[in-house]
Amino acid sequence: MQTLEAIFSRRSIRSFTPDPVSDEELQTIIQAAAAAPSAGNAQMWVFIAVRDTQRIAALRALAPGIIGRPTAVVILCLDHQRRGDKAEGRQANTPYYDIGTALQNMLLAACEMGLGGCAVGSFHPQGLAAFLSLPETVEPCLLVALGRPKVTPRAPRKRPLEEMYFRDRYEAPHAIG
Amino acid sequence: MQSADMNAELFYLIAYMITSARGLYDEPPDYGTFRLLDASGRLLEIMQSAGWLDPFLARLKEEVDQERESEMDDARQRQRLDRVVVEIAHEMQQRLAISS
Repeated sequence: MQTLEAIFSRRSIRSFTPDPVSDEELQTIIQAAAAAPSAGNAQMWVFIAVRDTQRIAALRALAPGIIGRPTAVVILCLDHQRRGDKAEGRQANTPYYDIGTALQNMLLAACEMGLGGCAVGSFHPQGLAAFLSLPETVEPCLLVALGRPKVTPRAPRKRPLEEMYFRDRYEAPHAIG
Repeated sequence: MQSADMNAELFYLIAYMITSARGLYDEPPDYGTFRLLDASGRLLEIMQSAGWLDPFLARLKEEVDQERESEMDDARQRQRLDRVVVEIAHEMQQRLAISS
């Protein structure tokens, strides 16, 4: 599969077959995540992969955003101890952008391997931290539910490009056309 | 389904509902609809594993599952829920008629 094909064909998968995601597949997905760019090459991310059925059942309770029954869940965290300098203001947000780039790599890698995934932002951070025994410096940022797609939804409606793509200078969308 | 498994499944469902209750303070109002649908789906799954689904509930589970698996679409969801609630009302009517 070509990169653009993966980008355009990927869907958020919320329905999975019971077939497991293998250790090898999971490792490739994590490697893809870790290959993402990060500001200052800080690589503050930590990935916790869960495949045990009972632990996933518990995660489904602590993260209501997990829809369906994924066969693997990866928790994307930031280890704030890894931040070298003290970034302030807008720069303080860059580790969170990095989590986004790692997330997209994971979803595209999963798509390429015939797996499906869905980013999950709805979870209880303190509950999740307690369940995963996270130290105080490690912050859970996002989860990715993974598995083999049972249902692949239709493409969601996207805003037309004209509403978001401008050349040379910003134009209010209502002024276009 | 073994009693211990049922116990665990129900425990997770309760945990899910309480976590959702907290989460909804910070989430868009639409999410409330989905969480309730998802909770219904999770309960129906437990009932299915226990062999407690009658034909009506089995059909209801299909409807709920379809909605959980689809892409988000407010208009379609409202329409489906309106129809399903009316079907539930008819079913309740029938069940009451049978039991009285």
